[in-house]
Amino acid sequence: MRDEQKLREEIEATLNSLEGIQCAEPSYYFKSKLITRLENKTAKKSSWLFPHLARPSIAIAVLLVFLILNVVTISSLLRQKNQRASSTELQSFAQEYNLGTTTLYDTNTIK
Amino acid sequence: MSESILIEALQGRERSAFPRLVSSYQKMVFNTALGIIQNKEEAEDVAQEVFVQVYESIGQFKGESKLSTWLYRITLTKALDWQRKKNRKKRFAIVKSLFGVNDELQYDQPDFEHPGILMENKERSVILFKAINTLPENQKVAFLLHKVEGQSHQEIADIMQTTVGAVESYLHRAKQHLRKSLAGYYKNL
Repeated sequence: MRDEQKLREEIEATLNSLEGIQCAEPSYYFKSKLITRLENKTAKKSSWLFPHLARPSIAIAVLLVFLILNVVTISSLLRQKNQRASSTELQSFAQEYNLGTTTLYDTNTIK
Repeated sequence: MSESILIEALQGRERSAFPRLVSSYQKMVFNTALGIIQNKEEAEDVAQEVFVQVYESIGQFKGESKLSTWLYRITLTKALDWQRKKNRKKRFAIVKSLFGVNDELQYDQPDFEHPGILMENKERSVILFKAINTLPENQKVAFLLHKVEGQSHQEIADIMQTTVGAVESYLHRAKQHLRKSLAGYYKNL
């Protein structure tokens, strides 16, 4: 019974231990640290692209994309050039042997 | 300087406005974060994050509540997020320790002595803060705002965006919960 009473008193005393609590002070440099933090953040934001490119993984990835784009562009250009060359060859061949002129066989089909 | 003038100056990006805001509210923000996080350095970090967010989003402040209420809300959100992250890390460390990698001690929360507690209450307050840490978030916030920040039920209701009745219920349940935890503690002594 007495123990119960003592326990209750202990609990109430602990619950009331926040009575008269004072404000805790942040460190003396709180404001200056905050200003520096803000300045750093603003600087980072303004140069958003550059620090990303400076990271090796991103730089390599960007380089690879450029390389792939270059290879694709060059190969498609070469293919076009080859196609053009072969079509001019065919045209000159057709002209040389008069393959372009229509003959009797073409116009008068046997019925 | 009145609150509305300060807000106007902040929204107009006047150079002197932000340092003035920090000077006026740094104690409030820091103490709120400190109650939740119970670590001076971490609470300071959170308080700084709060001011950074305020600086970035002051344009969105419509003035529907008091500036202090808005600051309290941002601080509580950030501090509770921080605490959740810390608890996740602690749980992860415990799981890791089960698999043989023992870094559990690294995440053990040390005893917290609030710097503003009266000398004669220091020892008891350490036990109380430990018990406060076991409260559900809403009860913890309501209890700390009431006991540490000295806010009225109405102000707490505004900060927590709820009714006065709900705040009273949180406080009542918090006290019940704390009595139970403390009883367990003292019985095991």
